[in-house]
Amino acid sequence: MKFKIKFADQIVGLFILISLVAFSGIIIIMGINQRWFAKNYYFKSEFNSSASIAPGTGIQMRGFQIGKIDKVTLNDENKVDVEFYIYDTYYHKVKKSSLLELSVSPIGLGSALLFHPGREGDVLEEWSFIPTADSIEGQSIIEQELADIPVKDDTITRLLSNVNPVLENVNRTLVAVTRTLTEVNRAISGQGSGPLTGIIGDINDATSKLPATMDNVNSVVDSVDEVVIGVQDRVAVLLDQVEELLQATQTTVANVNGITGNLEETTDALRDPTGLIPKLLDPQGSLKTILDDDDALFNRIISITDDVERSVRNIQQIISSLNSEVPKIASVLNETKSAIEKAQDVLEGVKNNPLIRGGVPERAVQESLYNSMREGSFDE
Amino acid sequence: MPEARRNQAPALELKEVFYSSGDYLILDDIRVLFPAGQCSVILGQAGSGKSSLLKAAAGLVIPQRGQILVAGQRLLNFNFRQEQDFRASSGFVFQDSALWQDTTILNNVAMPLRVHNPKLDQKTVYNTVSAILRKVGYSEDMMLRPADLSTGEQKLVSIARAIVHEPALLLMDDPVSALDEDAADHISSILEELKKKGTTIVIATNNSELAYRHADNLGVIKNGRILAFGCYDDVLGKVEFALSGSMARLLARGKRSGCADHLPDIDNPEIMESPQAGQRSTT
Amino acid sequence: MLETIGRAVRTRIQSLLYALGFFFNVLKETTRFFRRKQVAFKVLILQILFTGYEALTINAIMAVSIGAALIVIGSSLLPQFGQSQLMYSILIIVITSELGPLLTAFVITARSGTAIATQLGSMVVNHEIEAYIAVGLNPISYLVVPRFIGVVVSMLVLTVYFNLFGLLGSFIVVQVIRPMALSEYLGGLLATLKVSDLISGLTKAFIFGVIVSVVSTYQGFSVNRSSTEIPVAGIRAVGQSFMLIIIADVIVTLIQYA
Repeated sequence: MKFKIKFADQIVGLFILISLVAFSGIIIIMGINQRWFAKNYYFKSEFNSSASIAPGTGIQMRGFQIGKIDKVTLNDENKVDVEFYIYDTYYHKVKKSSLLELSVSPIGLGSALLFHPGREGDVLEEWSFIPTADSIEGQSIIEQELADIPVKDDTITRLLSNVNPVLENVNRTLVAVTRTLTEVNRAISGQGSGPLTGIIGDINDATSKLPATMDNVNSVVDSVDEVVIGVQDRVAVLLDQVEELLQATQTTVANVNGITGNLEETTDALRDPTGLIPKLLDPQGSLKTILDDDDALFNRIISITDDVERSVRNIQQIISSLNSEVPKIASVLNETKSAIEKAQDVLEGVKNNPLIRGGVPERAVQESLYNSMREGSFDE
Repeated sequence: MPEARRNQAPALELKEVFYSSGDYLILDDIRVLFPAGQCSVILGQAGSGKSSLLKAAAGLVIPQRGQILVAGQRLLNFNFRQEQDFRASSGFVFQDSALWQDTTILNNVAMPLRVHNPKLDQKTVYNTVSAILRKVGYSEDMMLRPADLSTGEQKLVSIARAIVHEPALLLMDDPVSALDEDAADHISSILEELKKKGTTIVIATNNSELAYRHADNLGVIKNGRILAFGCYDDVLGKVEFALSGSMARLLARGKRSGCADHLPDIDNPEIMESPQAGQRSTT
Repeated sequence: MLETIGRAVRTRIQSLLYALGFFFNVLKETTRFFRRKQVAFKVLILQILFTGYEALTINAIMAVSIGAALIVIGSSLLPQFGQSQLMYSILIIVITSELGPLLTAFVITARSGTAIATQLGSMVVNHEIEAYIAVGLNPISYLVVPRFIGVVVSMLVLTVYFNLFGLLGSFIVVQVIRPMALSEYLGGLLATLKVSDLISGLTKAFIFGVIVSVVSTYQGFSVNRSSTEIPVAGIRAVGQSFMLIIIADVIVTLIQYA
C-alpha cells in the first residue's frame, strides 16, 4: 500500500503509457494491414445497375482482394459510373483489355466483383476506363480471349467434371479410329498382318459407343440446365465453356462418323482384289488415289487432333484451378488428360504418315475450324 | 493595533439573511455587522442558529434571501478570483473540526498554504505547518491521520488549519468545545495574538469565558434571530434577562472597561421583554 | 392525489435539472482543470491508481477467460459450418465493441462507483466538503473533476487492456489446449478488426466512464447530514450507473449499426 502510494505517479504513468503504446501499435498494424498508407490507383468503369456494387465493395482477382469500389454515380445516360481503385501492389496487373465482372453466387451467397487482367499490353494509366464483362467492349475482349479469365470454381467445376467421362468415351473412340486407320495404313503399305474383319469389328465397336456418349452429353447438358435456372448470368460464361467442350465432342463425333464412312469405302475398295492389285502396282493411281479423296481423310484426322488438343488444354485449365480446391477431381481429370494426350500422340503419328499426307497446308485448316467453333458456341 | 493590518481586515456584514433547510427556518432576518479588526462573539444555545449564521457569513451555506457583504462586497456574487482572494484571507474553524480523513495532519494543515500559495516549496510548507501546530499546542506526529487523534487534538489541528495562512478574517464555530482548560488557554493566547494583529474575528460559542476574555462586541442569538448585538458593555447593559446560562454568567461578571466605539443598535424590543416573548415558532 | 402526483413530478424535474446542472458544472470545471495547475492533480493520479490500475487484475482475468472461451468454441464449432472466419468477427464484437466496455464499466461501477459515492457521502457528513470550500477549493473542481477524469481515463485505458488481454492473452492461454498459428490468428483478427469497432468500443468506454463518475459523485453529494444516508448513496450510485450504462450501450450500438 505504502509502495503504491509512494510510486503512484510512476505506476499510473506506466499503466497509461503501456495502453497508449498498445493502442497506437494496434492502430498502426491495422493501418498497414488494411493499407491506409499505401497509394491506390483509380480507374473508371460503367455498369448497368448499382446493385451489389456499393462503395467499399472489394474487387477480387483469383480470390485476392486487389481493390475497392470508391464512388458510384448515376450518369445522364442512365448508366452507373463507377470509380474504383486498385492497390499499388496489384497495379501492374491492370493492363490493356482488362475486364470487370460482377459475379453473383448461384446459391445466393452474395456476389463478388471480379477483375480479369488483360493478357498482354501496357499497364493502364490511372483514370483509364475498364469495361465490364457484359458490355459490348467487354464481350469482344472475351471473344478475342484478350483477358485472362479463370475457370470458375465449385458448383460449375463439378458440372464440368461430368464432362470427363464424355471426353473419355470420345477419346476411346478416337483411339479406336486411330488404330483402324493405322491398320489400314499398314495393310495398304503391305505390312498388315491382322484380319480386316477384326478391324471392321473395332470400328463397329467404337461407333456403337457413340450413342451412349451422346446420352452422356445430353445428361450433362440437362444437369447444367437445372442449376442454371434462375442464375443464368453467373453461369453463362461457364456454360459457354461446357458447351464448347460439348461442341468439340459433337464435332469429333461427326468427324468420326465421316471417318467411318470413309473407312467403309476404303474397306470396300480393299475387298476387291482386282482393284487393289493393279492400284498397288500402278504408281500413278495406287495408294495415293485411294486416299487422295480431296484430302478428306487427312482433314478429318487434322480436325480430330485439333479437338483432342483443345480438350487437353481445357482440362489442363480446369485442373490448374481445381488443384487447390478439389484435388480428387483434379487427379481424375489429370488421368483423363494423360489418356487423351496418348491418343493425341497416336493421331500425330497418323497425321505424319507419309502415305496419307497430301501436302495440304495444315495451319489454314486448323484455323478456320477453330474460329467456326468459337462462333458457334457463342450463338447459343 | 498596527494600522496597516487593521485596514486589510474586512468588516463582515449580514443583511436581511434568511436561511431555511427544508421547512425549518434556521436564520430569520439576520442583520448584523462584524466590525473590521475586532473580535465579535455570538452567544447562543445549541440549535439557536449560531453555527448556521457563521456558515452563512462565510458563504458555506447559501441563504435563500439576503446578502453577505465582505468589506462592502457581495460575497454571493463573487467571481472565481474574488472568491479565491476571500478564501485566502479568511479562516474557518468548524464545530466538529471537519478534518479531511483521507490524508495526514500535515496535509490537512498545509492545504490552505498549498491552495493559495502553490509556489511555496515543500520545506517551507513543512516548517510553517509544524510551527503553527506547536503554537496551538499539538504535540503528536504530523504524519498521523485525523482518525488517530482525540477530538480535542482534532480541534487544535482544525484551528491550526484555519490560521496557518494568517487570515485577516477568522470565523470560529465553538473553538474551545472538546478542549480541556490548558488547551483552551492556549487558544485564548492565540486569539489574543490575532487580535493584536488586527484580525477580524467572529466566534460563535456558548462559552462565557471566551466571550468575557476576547469579545469586543457581543451578540445574542436565539431561534435564528439576533436579539442583541453591540459593544460588549452596551449589550450587557441592555440585556436584563439571562437568555442562557452563559449570558447569566457574563451578567454576573459585570461590565468591563467601557466601549471603544458604539455600534448602531439593533432595534429589538424582544430583548427587553420576558424570555417567553422571544420564543418563536420555527416550524 | 393530483397534488401528490404534481409535486412528485415537480421534484422529479427539479432534481433532474439539478443533476443536469451538476453535470454541466463538472464539464465546465473539467475544461478549467487542465488550464489550472492544481493541487487536485495528485487526487487524479490516486484516482487512476485505484480505479484503473487496481482493477487491472480482475479486468485481465475476465478478458482472458472470455476470449479463451470464444476462441476454443469458435475454432471447434464454427469450422463445422464452414464459417471459421466468423470467429474473429465474434471475438471483436464481444471483446472490442460490446462486452469489453460493458464489463469494464460494471467492474468500475462496483469497485469505484460505490467507493466514490460513499467516500463523498461521508465527507459531506463530516463537513469535509464545507472545509474544502472554506480553504478555497471548489468541491466540484477538487473532488469531482479528478474523479471524473480519473474514472474516464481508467475506463478508456482498461478497455484497451481488456482488448489486449481478451484478444492476445486469451490466444496465449488457448495455446495450451488447442495450438494455433499466431500469424493465422493475427491475420484473421486484423483483417476483421475495423476502426469503427475500436471507435465504438472506446466511445462506449468514454460514455460509461462519464456515467459512472458523474452518477457516483452526484449520489455522494446527495447525502445530507446523516451517516445512514451513506450506504444508500452507494447503492443508488451502482443501481443508477448500471441502468444508465445499459441504456447508453444500447443507444451507441443502435447508432453504430443503424
